[in-house]
Amino acid sequence: MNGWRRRGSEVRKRGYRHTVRLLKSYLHPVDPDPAFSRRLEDLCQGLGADDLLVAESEPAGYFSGRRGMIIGGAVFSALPFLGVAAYAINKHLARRRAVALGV
Amino acid sequence: MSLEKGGDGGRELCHEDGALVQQAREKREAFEALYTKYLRKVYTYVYYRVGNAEDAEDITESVFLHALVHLDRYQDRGVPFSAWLLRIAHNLVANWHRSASRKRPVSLEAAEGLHDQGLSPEEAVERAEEIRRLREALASLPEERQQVLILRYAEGMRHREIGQVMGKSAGAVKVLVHRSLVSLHRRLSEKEEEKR
Repeated sequence: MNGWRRRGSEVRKRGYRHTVRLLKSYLHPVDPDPAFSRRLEDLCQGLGADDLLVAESEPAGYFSGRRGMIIGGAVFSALPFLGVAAYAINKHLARRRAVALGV
Repeated sequence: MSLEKGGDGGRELCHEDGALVQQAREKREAFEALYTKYLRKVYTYVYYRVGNAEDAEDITESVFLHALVHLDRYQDRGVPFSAWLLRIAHNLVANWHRSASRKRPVSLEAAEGLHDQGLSPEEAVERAEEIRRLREALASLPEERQQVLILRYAEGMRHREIGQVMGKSAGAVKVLVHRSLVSLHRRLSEKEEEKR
């Protein structure tokens, strides 16, 4: 055999049809391991699926909307303090300004 | 091999899947029906592409989890849900192959004892050797050709269905199947000649 077949005394090469037959006998539906099927089924249903959805889809949809609110809130909360700081710095600089008299 | 016409059976199947997907979007537990229906199909495809059960399980798991998370992205525009799943599987398998660390020989351990009914020990050995050469020849084909042969012969899909997975017309798929078979035969013959 070995891809070659004997016909009488001569050895002939196997043809295209043999390759097709071989391929058809080789390729066939394969059943996964039952334990794997059960594990994946458990993962896909009920709480497993919910956990996964929260873990993978929420960062994009949920936090991207919230992020802007959090940053905006922080900036606006800091504004009065920034104003007070600016006022104090201005006063401090004005007090230290030297003015030459009688020149 | 004949060119299949688009029948009502396929359309009904597509609508049935559409209903299941809609249910799964509203209630995630309903995804189980889709999972049960397509697990074997996805696993078979992945198994023949990666060549071992362990990686096939990992990738199959990723396919279903990916589908579950991105179920909202699936749009029923005449493309069956199975074709969408197989596209995801194809992309994940392509990523797997791209990883240099995973370039190892295809083993396909379970395929060793295929269809050896009633063979003598000598014939069984020759058969196993023949299958090994076939496997190597198949693995040496370009990705697209491996894909089309697996979908056609392992999944038993029609040309039109394969076209939906690969984004080609049924006619183009038919030509591709033929070319892939010719290419496979040529490579197999080369391997046999090398052995002689």
